[in-house]
Amino acid sequence: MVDIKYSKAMKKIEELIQKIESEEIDVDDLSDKVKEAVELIKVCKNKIEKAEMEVKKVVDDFEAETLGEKQ
Amino acid sequence: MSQEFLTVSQLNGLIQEVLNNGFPQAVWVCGEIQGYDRNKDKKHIFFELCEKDAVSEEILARIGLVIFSGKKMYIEEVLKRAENAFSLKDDIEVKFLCWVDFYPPHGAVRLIVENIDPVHTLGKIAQGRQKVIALLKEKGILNKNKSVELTPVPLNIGLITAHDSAAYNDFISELKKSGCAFKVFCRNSLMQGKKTERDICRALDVLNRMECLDVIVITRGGGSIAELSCFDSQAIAEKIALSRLPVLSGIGHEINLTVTDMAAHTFQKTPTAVAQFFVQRVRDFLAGMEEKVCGVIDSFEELKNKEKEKLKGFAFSLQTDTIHLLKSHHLLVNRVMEDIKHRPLQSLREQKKRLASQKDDLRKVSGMRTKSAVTQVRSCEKIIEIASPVNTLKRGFSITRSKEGKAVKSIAQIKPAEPLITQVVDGFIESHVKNIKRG
Repeated sequence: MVDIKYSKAMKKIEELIQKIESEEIDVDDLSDKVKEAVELIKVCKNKIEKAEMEVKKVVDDFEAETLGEKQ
Repeated sequence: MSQEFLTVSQLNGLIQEVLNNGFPQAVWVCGEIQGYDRNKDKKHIFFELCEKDAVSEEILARIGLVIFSGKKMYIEEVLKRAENAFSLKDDIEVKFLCWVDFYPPHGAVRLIVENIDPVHTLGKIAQGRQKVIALLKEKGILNKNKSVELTPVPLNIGLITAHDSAAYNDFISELKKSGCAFKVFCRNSLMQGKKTERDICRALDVLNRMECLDVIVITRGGGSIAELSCFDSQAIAEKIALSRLPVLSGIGHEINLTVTDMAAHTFQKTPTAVAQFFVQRVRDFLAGMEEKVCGVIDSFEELKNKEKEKLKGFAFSLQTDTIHLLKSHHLLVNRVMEDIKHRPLQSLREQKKRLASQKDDLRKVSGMRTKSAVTQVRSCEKIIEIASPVNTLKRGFSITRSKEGKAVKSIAQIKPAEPLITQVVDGFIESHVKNIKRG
């Protein structure tokens, strides 16, 4: 689950919501599907947070570097 | 005349008397001088005048003359007054004022020169020259040698002059003085008198055959018009016209041009002047070369500087362009940097929002799904409720089952006397089949 690509995960979430919405999903499967969607949402959230942190770090490192060069 | 004979002296005396009576005045006589040169240094100069056939040059008549020592000075004076146009010498045509005299001791008629008319001689020379010029013009050869190209560096010179004469020495020393590498091939020739023409023509032939020569010079020192009249030669002019090499003349004259000068490529007044002409020509060439070399150097310098300026310009614009480019790239990089700083975070935030809304959606949708399921179940319940046998029993219906407990739906299921159990809403009724009838 963790290895899934963000865009794929998002697509899957959308599909699940759509399917639930259009009542294609059996009530028996409903909780499983919601669970799955929640899992995916978690994965995506983690991915976003991780990316956010990494981006911040890269930018901070880069700024420190360029500042060092200017000095 | 009582005597039957005369003595020679008596005869000669008589002849003298008759002649004197016959020529009471001095007369002007024209003719060509002969035998003068060999006697000219004597006290009294004895010589002859002769008349030649115009075509064959055969002597038709001759007569002896004498210039007494007392007259010599006077004659020279007259010639001097005519600007030294000529001096008396063999082969020239002159006009003398003479007494016709008979010299009894020799029994010879002679002319005693009293005066001379230089104009006649000059006229004759001029006339002769004009005749030759007219003829040469007619043949179109006067300018022929002028179109022969004279090299800019005439260093190899064929010289026609009297060897070791003043003219020769002047010419050679002027060339030597220049320090230029002149080479002179001298062809000895008579430069005055009747044989001059023959000598010069031969010399022109010989020098023209020499491959190594650049130019031919005919030169001599100054002389009287009569002396130079041998250069009014048709034969020489024709030889010059045919000459392979350019012919330069330096015949020492002051006023009039000789035919040789006119036919020559270039004429100068003196041997020195001809030599100077060559020296100047060579020097001009060298100067021209120097100038050309300088010109080449100058134009090279100019080109070099121009190219240098161009390169400078290139370098400058390269520098400014580069700086400009770097600046704009720097701005771009800065902007990109800003974008990198903010954009990803922004987009992550957006993603987060989206995710949150997905979460909401999920909650909402799954809620709805359960709700609709509940509704469905309820409606089913209702139908089931309606269809339930209890409700049917309540309305008065009953269910009759066989003893096996099967609901009796057809008469075929039962036989008479068989027990039946009938269910009503509040209990069961046991009975037996009495009769079976088809309905």
